[in-house]
Amino acid sequence: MKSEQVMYWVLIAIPVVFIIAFMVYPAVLSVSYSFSHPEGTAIPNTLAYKQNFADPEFSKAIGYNLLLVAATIPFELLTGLFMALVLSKQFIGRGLLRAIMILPITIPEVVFLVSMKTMFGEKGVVNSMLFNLGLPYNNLWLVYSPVNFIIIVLVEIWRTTPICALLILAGIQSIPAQVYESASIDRATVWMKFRHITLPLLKPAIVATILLRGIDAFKIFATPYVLSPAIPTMTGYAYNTYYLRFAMNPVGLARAAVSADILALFIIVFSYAFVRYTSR
Amino acid sequence: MSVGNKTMDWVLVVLLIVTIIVSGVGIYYTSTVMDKLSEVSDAVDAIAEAMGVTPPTKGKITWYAAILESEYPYYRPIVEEFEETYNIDVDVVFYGGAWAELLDKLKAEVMADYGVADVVTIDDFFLPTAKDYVADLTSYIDTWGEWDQLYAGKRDPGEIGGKKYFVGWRADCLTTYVNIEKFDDNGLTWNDTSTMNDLLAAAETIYNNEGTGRIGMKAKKYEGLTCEIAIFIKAYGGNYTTFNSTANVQAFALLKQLGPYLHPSSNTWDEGTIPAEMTTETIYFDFNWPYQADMIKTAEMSDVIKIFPTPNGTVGRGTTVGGGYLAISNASRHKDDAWKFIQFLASKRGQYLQLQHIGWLPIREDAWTELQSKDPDKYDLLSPYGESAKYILPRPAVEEYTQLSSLWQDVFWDIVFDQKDAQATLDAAQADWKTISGS
Amino acid sequence: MIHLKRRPLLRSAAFTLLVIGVAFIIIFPLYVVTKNAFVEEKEIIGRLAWPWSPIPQTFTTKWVYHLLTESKLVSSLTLTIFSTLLSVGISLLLATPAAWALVRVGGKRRTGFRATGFIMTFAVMSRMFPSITVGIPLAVTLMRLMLHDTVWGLAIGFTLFSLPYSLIVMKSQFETIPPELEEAAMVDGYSRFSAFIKVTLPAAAPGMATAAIFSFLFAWGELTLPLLITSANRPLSVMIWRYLRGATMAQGSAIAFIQLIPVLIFTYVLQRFLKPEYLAGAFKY
Repeated sequence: MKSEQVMYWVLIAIPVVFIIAFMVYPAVLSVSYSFSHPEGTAIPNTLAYKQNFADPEFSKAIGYNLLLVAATIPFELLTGLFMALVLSKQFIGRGLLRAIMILPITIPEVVFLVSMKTMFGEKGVVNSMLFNLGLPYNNLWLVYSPVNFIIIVLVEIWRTTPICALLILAGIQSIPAQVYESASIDRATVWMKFRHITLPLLKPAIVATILLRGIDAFKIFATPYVLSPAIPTMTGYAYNTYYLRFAMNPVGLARAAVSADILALFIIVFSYAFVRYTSR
Repeated sequence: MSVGNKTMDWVLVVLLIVTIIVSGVGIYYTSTVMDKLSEVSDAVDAIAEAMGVTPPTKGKITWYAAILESEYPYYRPIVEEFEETYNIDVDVVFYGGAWAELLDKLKAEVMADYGVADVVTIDDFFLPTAKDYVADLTSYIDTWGEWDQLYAGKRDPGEIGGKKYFVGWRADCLTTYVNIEKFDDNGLTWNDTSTMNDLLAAAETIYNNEGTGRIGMKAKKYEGLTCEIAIFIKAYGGNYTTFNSTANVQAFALLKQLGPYLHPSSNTWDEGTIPAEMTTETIYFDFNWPYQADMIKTAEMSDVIKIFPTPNGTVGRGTTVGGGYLAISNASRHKDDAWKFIQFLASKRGQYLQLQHIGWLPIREDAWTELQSKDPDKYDLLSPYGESAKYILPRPAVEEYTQLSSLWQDVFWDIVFDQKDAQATLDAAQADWKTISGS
Repeated sequence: MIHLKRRPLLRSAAFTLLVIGVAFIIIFPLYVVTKNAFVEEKEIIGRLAWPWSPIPQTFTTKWVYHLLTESKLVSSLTLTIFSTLLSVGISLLLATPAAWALVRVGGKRRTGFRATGFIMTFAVMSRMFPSITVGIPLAVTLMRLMLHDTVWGLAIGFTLFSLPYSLIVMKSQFETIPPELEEAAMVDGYSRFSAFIKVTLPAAAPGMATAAIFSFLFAWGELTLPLLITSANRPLSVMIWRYLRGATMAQGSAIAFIQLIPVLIFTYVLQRFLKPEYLAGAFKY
C-alpha cells in the first residue's frame, strides 16, 4: 500500500522537521552569530573570539566546566550504582525508597537551589548547626575555593544520583536470575558475583549512563551561578555576556554565541569520542 | 492492569490534550482581541475629541510611570490630591523597573506620531538618548521660576544643550548604613563627621577582631558599582571624566587599602542582595538607597542599624543620584495639562508628599524643612540623606556613558580586588577613555 | 566480612537505616524551602534568622497570598501552567503518530530498521545541544515569528527538549502493541485511522501518560531556556531565580513551594509508570 507508506514517512518527518526548524537551524545560526560584528559588517569577524579569549574569566569558565564534568560523573556513577544495587534487593521500605528517590529528578532545580542557598549561606542552616554544637561557625562555604567547588559537586550529585540509579537499575533488572543462581552453585562470594557477573553485564547500562550524564554535566548552569558565582561555567559566561548586550557591551551577543558554541563543540567531541571508545 | 484503569488513563490523556489546545487557542485570541479592542476605542476617542463631538470634560493625561503596582497604594494620595486640585484626571500606566521598555514605547509613539503618553518617567541613564523624544520645557520652567531651588546635582543633567527637557522626580541617592551595635562591640563609633580614614581604620579593626571583613560594597560587575565609586571620588574632589586626576588617584589609594578589609562576597553583591547581608549582620557597614531603610524596618533592626551621611574625604562628602526624571512626550496631545502635573510633583508640596507617603527623597531642600516640622521622627531617620544629597556628583552627559561606567568598574576591580597600582591603572583607563570618547 | 544474608535482623536494620538516611537527605531541603515560605521576613533576614531553628517562630500565609493576587505573580503562574500544558500537548501530538509510524514501518522492510536507528540517533543528538546554544538564536527566530515572550514561544522551546524523550517512550510503548490488533479492527470495517484511535491509542495510554508526565515535569522546572526566550513574561522558575536575593527569599520560597506541589503529586502518580523498561529505551540504540 504505497499511500500508506507515504503517510508513515510524513508522520515521522513532522517531529524531525520541527526539531530541525527550531533546534538545528538556531544552532547553526549561533555559529554565524559568533562571527558577527556589532556594526553588522558582513565579513566574518573574529572580534568576539578575540575578546573572549583575552578575558581571563573565559578560560576560567572553560576550566571549571571541564573540572565539573570530571568531578561529578565518577561520583554520581558510584552513588548511583550503590543505590541501584540497594534497590535491586528486597527489603522492607523498598517501595518507599523508590518513591522518594524519584523526587530529586522531578523537583525543579530552582526550588532546590533556594534551599541550598539557605543551607550553605554565611548565616545558613549548616553554620547554625555548627554554632549549636560549639564548633567554628563563621564558615564561608560558598566563597573560598576549593570548598565552594566541593559543595557544588555535592549538590549536583544529590540531584543526579537518582537518574543514574534508575538507569543502572534498568540494566540490573535485565540480568536473568539464573546467572546468579548458577554462580551460587559454584560457591561464588558476593564480591565475586558482583565483579564477574554484575559489572560486566552492566557495561551497556553504565556506558549509556556515563554518556547521558556526561552530556548533562557539561550543561550545568544554575547551581554554580546561584550558589557560588566565583565558579564560572561556560553557560554562565554566555548568559552574562548575553545580557551585557543591552547595557554595556555591544559585542555581547557574539561573545555569548562563542561561549555557547564552544560548549556545544565540547559536548559533541565528548559524545563522539566516548561512543567510539566504547564501541570497540 | 485492569481495563478500568486503562480507560481512565485514556480519558485523562484525551482531556489533557483537548484542554491544552482549547486554552492555548483561547489565550492567543483573547489577548489579541483585547489589544485590538483597546486600540479601536482609543482611536474612536481621538477622533471624537478632534471633531469636538465630546463636550469639554475634565482634563485627562496619561502617565507612563516607573512605579510598581504594589507601591501604588502609597502613591495614590499624591495623584488624587493633584486630580482634585487641578481637575485633571491622571491615568497611570505601571512600568515598574522597566525603564528601557518605557523608553522604547515612547520612541515608538513619537515616531508614529501617535501619542498616548503625556507625562513619562525617564531613567537617569537615558537622558541623552531620550532628549530627542521629549518636549522642550524651557519656557514652562522659566515661567515657573523654581528651577534654581532644586539640588544642583539632580537638576543640571536635565538641561542639555541649553534647553531644559527633564525635571527631577526624586533624588534617590546613596548614603551610609552602620550597625552601631556591632561597631560598639568592636570598640568603634561612627557619626556625621566620620571620615574615609575612619572607615579604613574601622574596617581594619573589625577584620582583625573577627577574622573576616564586615564592610560591604555592591561590587558585582556590571551593575551599580559606579554609583559607589562616586562616593569616593567626589569626596576627594574628583570627577568621572578625568580618570587619573590627583583627586581620583587619592580616592583609589584609599580604596586599595580598604580592599582586603571588605567582605569577600562583595564582588557578587548588588542592590538586591546586599540589604539582607546588613540585616543578617553578615556586614556591619554599607552604602545604599532609601529602600534599604524599609527593609531594616521590616527586619526590626531599626534600633541597631542607623543611617549617616557619607564619609568625608579631603574635600567633603560625595554621593550619586538616581530616581528618574519627568518629561513630556513630544507626541503628547495635552502638553499644558502634563506640565501642570510635573510642576505639582516638583513643587515643595508634591515633593513633601512623596517624602512623607512613600519615602522618596526630594529634589529640593524645602521639602525636608516641611517634613521636619510635620513629622520630626521621620525627618530624624532620613535626614542624613538630605545632607548627602547636597553633594551629588552628577552622571556626565556623554553618549558613551555605559562604556564609561564599565571602564570605572574594571578600574575598581583591578585596584581593589586585584590590588594593582592605582596611578598606573587610572592612567591606562584615561587612555582607554580618550579612545572611546574620541576626544 | 559480615554476611548480611545470614543475619536477617542486621540486614533489615542496615536497610532501614539507609532508607531513613536517604529519605532525610532528600526531604530536608524540601522542608527548608517550605519553612521559608511560611514565615515572616524577619525570621529570614533579621536577628531571628540566626541560629536557624527547624521550628518556625513566626507564621504567615501572606507570601502564598501574594502569589495568587499580585498581578505579576499571577500572570507568571498562568503562563507557566499554560506553556507547560501546551508543550505537553504538542510533544504528544508530534511524537505519538511519529512513533507509531516508525514502529509500523520498522516491521515491514529493511529501510524501516535504518529509520529507527536514525530517529534514535537524532533524539540523542538533540540532547547534545545545550539550551544556551539553541536558546539565543531561538529567541531571535521567535522574535521574527512574533512568538518571542509568548505562551506559544515558550511551549515550542519546551517541546524541543521533551520531544525526543516522548518519541523514545512512545516507540517502546508501540512496540508492545502487535499490529494484529489494528488489522483485526480493520477487518471489522474500521479505517486505518479509526482503528488507530479506537484500538491502538487506548492500549498506548500508559506510555502516553508517562511521556506526558515527564514532559510536564521538564517544562515545569526548566530554567535556562525561559531565561533566554522571554523578557517581560516570565514563568515561575525564572521568578524564583529573580527572587533568590536575600530580601525576597521568603517570597521566592513561597513560589518555590507552589511550584513544588504539582511535582509532588505527579511524582506520586509517576511511580506507577516509572518502569525501567521505559528508561531502557534510552540506551537501546
